Amino acid sequence: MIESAAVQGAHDLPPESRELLETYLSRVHGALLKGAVGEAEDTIAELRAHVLDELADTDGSPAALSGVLAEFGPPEDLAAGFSAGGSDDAQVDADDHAEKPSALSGRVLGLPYELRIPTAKRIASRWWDPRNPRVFVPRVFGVGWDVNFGALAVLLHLIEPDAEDEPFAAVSDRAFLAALLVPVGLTAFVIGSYLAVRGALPPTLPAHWTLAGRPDSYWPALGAFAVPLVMSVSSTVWAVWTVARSRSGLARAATIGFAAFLSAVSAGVWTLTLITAMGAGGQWWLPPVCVSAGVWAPLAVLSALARSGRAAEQRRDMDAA
Amino acid sequence: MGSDSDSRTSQFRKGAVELAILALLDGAEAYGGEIVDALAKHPGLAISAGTVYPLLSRLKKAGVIDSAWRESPVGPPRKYYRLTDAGRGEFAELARAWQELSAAMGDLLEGKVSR
Repeated sequence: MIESAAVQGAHDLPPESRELLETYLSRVHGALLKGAVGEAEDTIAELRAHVLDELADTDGSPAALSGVLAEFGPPEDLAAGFSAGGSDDAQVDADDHAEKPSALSGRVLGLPYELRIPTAKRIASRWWDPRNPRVFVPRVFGVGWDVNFGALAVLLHLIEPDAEDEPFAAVSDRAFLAALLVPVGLTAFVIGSYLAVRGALPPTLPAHWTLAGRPDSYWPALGAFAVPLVMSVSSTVWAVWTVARSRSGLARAATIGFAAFLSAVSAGVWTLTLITAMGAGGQWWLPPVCVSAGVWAPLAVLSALARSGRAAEQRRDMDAA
Repeated sequence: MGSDSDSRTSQFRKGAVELAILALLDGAEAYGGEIVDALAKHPGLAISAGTVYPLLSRLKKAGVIDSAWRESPVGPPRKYYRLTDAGRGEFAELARAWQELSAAMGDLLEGKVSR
């Protein structure tokens, strides 16, 4: 048997073990930084000291080191443990990073950012989480926070936090088709109102408004119509396609909620455009009222779908009893 | 300093509340609001609904508890939670571990905590 020198420090480790340890700690460090866990350097130093202590009576071989690291578990899980006591935002971040680590998502100066293309799953988990009491959660796309409509619905007593076992899993096809009528109807409103008044429209339409509700910049009428049209049509087509192709209640609800949001904002802004273009408006409350449709429409649609899912679960359980 | 202490106390509560919920559901079913209210009766365990509901969801996914909608004697139907067979085993194990931990901590803290 070969007598091994006791491990006193990292320099006593064989090169393979040193590399293995540094790779592991580097992954922990990266995950700590993504999770916005403070004092990442101190944490890494502490972990390194712990590992070297544990290896003190061994030969420091990769096998011995692997045994010590196995007690810590995967680096990302270990890092998540350091942030487990953090904010709910950090928990959402941790859930997302468990989905797929990415430099396109994280925090800068305390502000959450998300630059990955939105997926139905991510939209659903951010916009409808009734068990999470926080109304504002990291954005689905961009910098800052989005509304957690699930928390808002609970606050307004529209639904209970645990109303559904799995969100939207028990919602019927008919309920999804009925919910689709909201974005489809709002899109039809944008198109129909344009067709009805296009002959009377001036060549330029308001593009921006002051806080007092008066237009302060203009752009060509076609552009003023095309932007809300593209937003509402594209999101509604995505929702229709998802309802037709997917069996996942979560994906269906997420795309309908997203379409309701974009088509409501589009319809609201388009309505404001028409009102102010025709010389009316100028009231301070008009822009916020029109744009707030972007909150109420997805809230109404998602709450109605969740209530439909709750009713289906109640029928299932109470009929079986 | 105070907020650090509050945060650590909150972590204690979160750890203990899982066992407390299993204890509440041992032999009796309860709905979410009842569980929140029952915990609130014990100041050391008072924890928000925002913590209880995600915990109930995790316990259900783990197969420790189950739930079903039932007519309520008062008010609308409620979703009642109960222990599964696996949950009863888990509860017995956790309760034993808790008692050992509690006894050990009692020994360590004896005479060191000013009342």
